[in-house]
Amino acid sequence: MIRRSASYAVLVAGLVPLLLPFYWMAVTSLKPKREIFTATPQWLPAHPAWDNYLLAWTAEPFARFFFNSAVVTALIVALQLVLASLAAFALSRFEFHGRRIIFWIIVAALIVPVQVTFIANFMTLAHFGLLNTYAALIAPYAASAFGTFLLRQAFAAVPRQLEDAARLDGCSGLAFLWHVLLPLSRPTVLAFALVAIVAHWNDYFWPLIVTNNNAVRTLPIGLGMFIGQEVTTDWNLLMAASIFVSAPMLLLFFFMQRYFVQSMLRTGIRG
Amino acid sequence: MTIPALRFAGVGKSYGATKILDDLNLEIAEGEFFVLLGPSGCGKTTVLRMTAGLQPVDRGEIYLRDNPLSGVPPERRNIAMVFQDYALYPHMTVYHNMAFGLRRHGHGRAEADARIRKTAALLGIQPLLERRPHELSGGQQQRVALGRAIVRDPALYLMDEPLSNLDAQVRAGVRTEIKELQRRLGVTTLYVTHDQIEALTLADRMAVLNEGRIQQVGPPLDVYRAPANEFVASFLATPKLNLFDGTIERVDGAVLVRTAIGTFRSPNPPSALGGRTAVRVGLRPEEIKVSFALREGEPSLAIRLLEPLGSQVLAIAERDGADVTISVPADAVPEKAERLGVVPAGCVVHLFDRDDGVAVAHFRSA
Amino acid sequence: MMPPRVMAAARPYLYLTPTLAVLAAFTYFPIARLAEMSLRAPSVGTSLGPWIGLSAYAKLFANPLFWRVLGQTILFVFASVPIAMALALGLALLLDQPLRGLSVFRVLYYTPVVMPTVAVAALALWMFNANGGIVDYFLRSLGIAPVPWLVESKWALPTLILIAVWKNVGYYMIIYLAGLQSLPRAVLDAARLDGARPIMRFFTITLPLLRPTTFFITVVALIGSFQVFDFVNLMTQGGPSNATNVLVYFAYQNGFEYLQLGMAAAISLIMFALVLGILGLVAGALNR
Repeated sequence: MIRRSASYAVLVAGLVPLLLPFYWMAVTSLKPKREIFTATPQWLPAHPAWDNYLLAWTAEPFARFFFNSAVVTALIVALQLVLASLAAFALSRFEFHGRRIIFWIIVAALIVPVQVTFIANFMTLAHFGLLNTYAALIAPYAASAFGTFLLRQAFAAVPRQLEDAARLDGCSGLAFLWHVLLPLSRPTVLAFALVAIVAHWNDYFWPLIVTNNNAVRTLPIGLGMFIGQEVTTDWNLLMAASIFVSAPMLLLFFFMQRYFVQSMLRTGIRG
Repeated sequence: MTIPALRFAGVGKSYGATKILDDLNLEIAEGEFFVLLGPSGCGKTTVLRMTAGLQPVDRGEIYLRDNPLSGVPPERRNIAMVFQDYALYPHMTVYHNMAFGLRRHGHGRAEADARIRKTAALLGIQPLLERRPHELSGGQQQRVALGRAIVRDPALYLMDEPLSNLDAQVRAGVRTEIKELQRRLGVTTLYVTHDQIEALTLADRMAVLNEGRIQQVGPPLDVYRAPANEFVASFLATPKLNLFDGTIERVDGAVLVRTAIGTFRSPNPPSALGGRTAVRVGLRPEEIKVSFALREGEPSLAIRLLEPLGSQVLAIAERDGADVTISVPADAVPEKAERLGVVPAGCVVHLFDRDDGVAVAHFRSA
Repeated sequence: MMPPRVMAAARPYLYLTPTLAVLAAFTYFPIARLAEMSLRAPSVGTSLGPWIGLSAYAKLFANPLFWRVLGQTILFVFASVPIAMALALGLALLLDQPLRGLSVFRVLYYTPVVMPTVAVAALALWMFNANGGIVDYFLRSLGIAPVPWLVESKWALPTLILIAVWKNVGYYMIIYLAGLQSLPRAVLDAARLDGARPIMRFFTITLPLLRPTTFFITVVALIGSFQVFDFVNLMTQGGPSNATNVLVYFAYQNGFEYLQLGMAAAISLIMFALVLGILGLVAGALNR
């Protein structure tokens, strides 16, 4: 009994530093300018300024950034799913020379982050004149070692008898991948897709390296520029912008949280 | 002469240096229920997978109604298979499990539907059509797996230990059902199992396979009565075949077989015995006659353990270090029985060559 | 026309080609390219410049700022990772109880993980602001003098560590929770029947059994923390006076501000080697 209430007490106490920032972000975003700097914090805006969101939205070409983020994230995740499915199919359902080595080559890519390779990749893309293009934003992420690994594990768990049954039913090769392996691996596919969407929607580093004009900048870059301009003054607008940049992922997370947790359970696979 | 439904001609299969199958020759008649019996790893599943086209044949050829199968992909062989774990598509309803193969074989929606309804009615699974496999019991999944094979209306059914995942209770019922269904549909069936009871109850004819070689082919009772060698006799004995070294004596035109547990007499010496003086003697637990009413001085065996199985009791007895397992009707065993005697007359005796284990004679002792 | 057997044998390679091509072009080739760049004097154009041997490394090792950046990066990693992991394990243990409503906590604690770093940086700038920041207000109301969070050298890096912990703790927590939930219940029950007290059980049974999970999180966390860049670039630009400069930011600065691409490549490679070395040590220590 004591242990139970103590557990709840600790968990609730932990929520204060966790959730207070979110609350403060939301409240600030609705404050008119004169309510931002007050001697004692104002926990509710006296006069909610909803047009802060509109002002923030138009302070930078956020509509364009939003569109760019959506296109780039969608294309990256789609490419990753296609490429990872094919690679995982080969690694899980075929016997061929070099299978183990190729598997390890792919998995080893997990320890080479873009934060190591960015200068070389920047040079490569510059060489081909691809800076400031969607291609530059997408190409390095078109394949996912992580996704390939996850799907390989999922595909390998499908019993051979099912593959035999499908072959007798006239379903082999890519048809088997499409009609049997992928539908059966739906939880893994979904979990990986969610993680990838969040990672690439939120990505700040790589777009910073390869973009310097608004036509291709993504939301995080736009918000980063906004930070550079608004610091020390319009915190309400900056918080409003932070909220609409984060909102799609927060909504996605709250509606799909079951699958996020599932994906974590999957990535928790030993070693 | 009629063409066999399925014919194996010198079929062989190797993995590296290991021969999985060695020169398999077999003919299965149209409409026949043929059982391939053998221990795990004997190559029987390989035979099925090669017939289905899931594994290539290394040597020889398999003919379906005289058409060579090599080079024909699995889906064009007109063969359906029932798998050990059923291999139902977990993400599809029962209906779609049955429809999938039909649709991929180019049957129209309406025809597929009609066939599925008919098959479902035959198997009594109409109420299950909209369910998914994980919502079904083992027996129901088994029935759906059969349905998926039947609905294709193939020239041949392959069944890979389809009963091994069922509870003992359900198994006997499904076994009967499979037999009746096969009789009704008249489709040639090649059925693989390691369970001798299944083989004996289901088969029109059966083959015993060991280490990639066929040991014996024939109707189940023939195989049971006259096992071709020590392996077949052992494999068809429950729980085990009693084996002893025996010596042969010829007295007055009859033959006496002396073993550690007794001497058995055959009035008409079998010709295959030849001039042998030493043999291996095999006695099945259920084919040994015993008596618990012992006379003074009569040779007897000490009972080590009695295992009641219900109507039968397994008696494990020994004499001079030789163990013997005997199956006795439960009501014949007196309370606190300590010794038993083997009755020399009325036992079924199998004699095998000491060197190669090939059967040389089977007789009932007199 | 290729015979069908060859076609069939080629299929897995065909399916792997796109993935391998992308990884080769953007993951493996760049490592070789970095090595080449660090040995030459590339200019911002497409020219790789003349070979200059190890002079970029020599300059780097002679630069006291490099050593400071290296030290600060290691400090950041070895402060933020253990703190976040310890908190995460504590939370996971609390959440791994048969109590009602815990799934709500699980979701809430995970929320910062899905936030963009840019939004977190904006929020943190506001909360830790010297002018009107709410954190200072709390300190004052507790009778503590305000802290010059991002303004003073000795406070800036700890502030970034705090923010990184806040952002990541939920991620490690979920993985720990997954690890805890896959522990063999029978072993824990047996320990309980043996009369082991909860604290004892944790140190003698739970923690050793969790070692694979701990290893996995350590690897993920180390790789992730060495990459720290976003908060630095958005909140401090490495300042004040390089107090928060870390390796990725230092490489970025050298490459894109000072246009010393060879130097930047050398820094990136050194960081990669460092991560590999530390991963090797961790693997040796934890993954026996």
